[in-house]
Amino acid sequence: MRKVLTILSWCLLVTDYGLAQQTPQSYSNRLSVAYSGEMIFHYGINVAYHRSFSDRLSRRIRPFYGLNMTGYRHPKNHISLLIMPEVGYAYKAPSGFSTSLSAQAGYMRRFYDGETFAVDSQGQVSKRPWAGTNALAYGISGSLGWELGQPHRRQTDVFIQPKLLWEYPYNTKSLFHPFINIGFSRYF
Amino acid sequence: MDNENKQHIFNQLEKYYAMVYYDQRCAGMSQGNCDYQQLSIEQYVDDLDKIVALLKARFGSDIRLFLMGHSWGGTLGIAYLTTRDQAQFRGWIEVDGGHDVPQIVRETKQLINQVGGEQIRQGRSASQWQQLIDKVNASTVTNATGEQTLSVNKLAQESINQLRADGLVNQELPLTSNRTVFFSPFSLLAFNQNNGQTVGAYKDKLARINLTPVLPRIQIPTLLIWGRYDFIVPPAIADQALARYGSAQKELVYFARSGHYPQESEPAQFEEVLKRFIDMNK
Repeated sequence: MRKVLTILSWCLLVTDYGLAQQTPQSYSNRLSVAYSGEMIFHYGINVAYHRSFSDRLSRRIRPFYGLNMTGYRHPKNHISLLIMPEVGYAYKAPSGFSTSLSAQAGYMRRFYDGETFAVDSQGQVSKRPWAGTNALAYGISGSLGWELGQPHRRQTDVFIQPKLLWEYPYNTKSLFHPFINIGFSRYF
Repeated sequence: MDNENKQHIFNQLEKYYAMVYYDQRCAGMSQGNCDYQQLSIEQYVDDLDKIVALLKARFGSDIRLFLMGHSWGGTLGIAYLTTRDQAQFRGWIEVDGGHDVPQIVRETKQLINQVGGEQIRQGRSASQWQQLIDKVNASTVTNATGEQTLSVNKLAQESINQLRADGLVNQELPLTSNRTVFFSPFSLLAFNQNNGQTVGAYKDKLARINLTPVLPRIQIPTLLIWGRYDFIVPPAIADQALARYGSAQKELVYFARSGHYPQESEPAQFEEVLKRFIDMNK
């Protein structure tokens, strides 16, 4: 039984390496730009830069790390800016299909979207521009993507990425924010 | 008011008056890291005072203000007018408000028994009403805790729903729609979280509120609007408030086909009654 497993393992490694050799180049950097919709329609933009931990060609499932930045607006409610380092795994099939799973944690700045005032204990009113709160943001996301253009060139993908995010503190608790990102990735 | 129903009562009132709506501390969509555990009626009154100060600073100290409170807003309005300068307002409009929460719970039990019994005698939804009567009779209504108060409150809402099914109460407008959730300033997630946390943190304090002794302090013109079938704040509470308010000019109007939300169940009548009161006192 041990011999069978050993032979199977060698076969898998050779096959993996062989298939990887069909991809002409290694791209370990990825830049993404996407429409980012909190609750789908609270519109924004997401920019992400990812880099593979490993440049080995034989790895189709690649761990990556990177930086994720989002700005979105919920009109007349708030505007948020998020900057979050992230880590995850990405998989690219020979067919051009790709998927990934990642976790992020970072900083969120919320601005109230409207004129903001403060009233002191004497009843004096003053304007308070750029009023808002700071928070920790953390979440997970998964993506599904497809290669554009010639197969195996691995230059540009289109993807859709649902994201589950939490903001803490929001009135001393965590507030859930669902997102959908739809955009393009470029490998280089 | 981002309600897509152009016939909604507040959309109609906005044609005539500047309406000011605010999300109270830790409720609705309020932001700013408030602490649910620190809520008190005194804090809510203080916040309302700052809203009034802001309105005067922005729109002039000579603006003509009316205060309207529905349900808990009625309680808050009474607390405000009896501790701050009520002369700032030309009139007070209370809509199914509650000044004595322990009594409300007792009156709700009585009303469910009374109306439920009548419905059973008339052969309308007998088994459903019997269930409601049995449940409320098994509930604690004397010295009720926050949890027990909410439990009776839930039975009250179920009773209104049953009356609606029986055809005696009009349908109310829905609270949210897809347009409200996705394309308005409304945040469903924040709303649910804030209100859930606030009710959880505040319910025991709420259950003990009794402002009956201070009702006579209210001297400004007062209008009470009540649903005839409001099980949540029964009509007996309205009758007591009318008797005890100190205003020389006071009026109670019952809406015959309404539960706890007459502004939603009979909006045309609500608009007419409100406009008459405001026009008379502005």
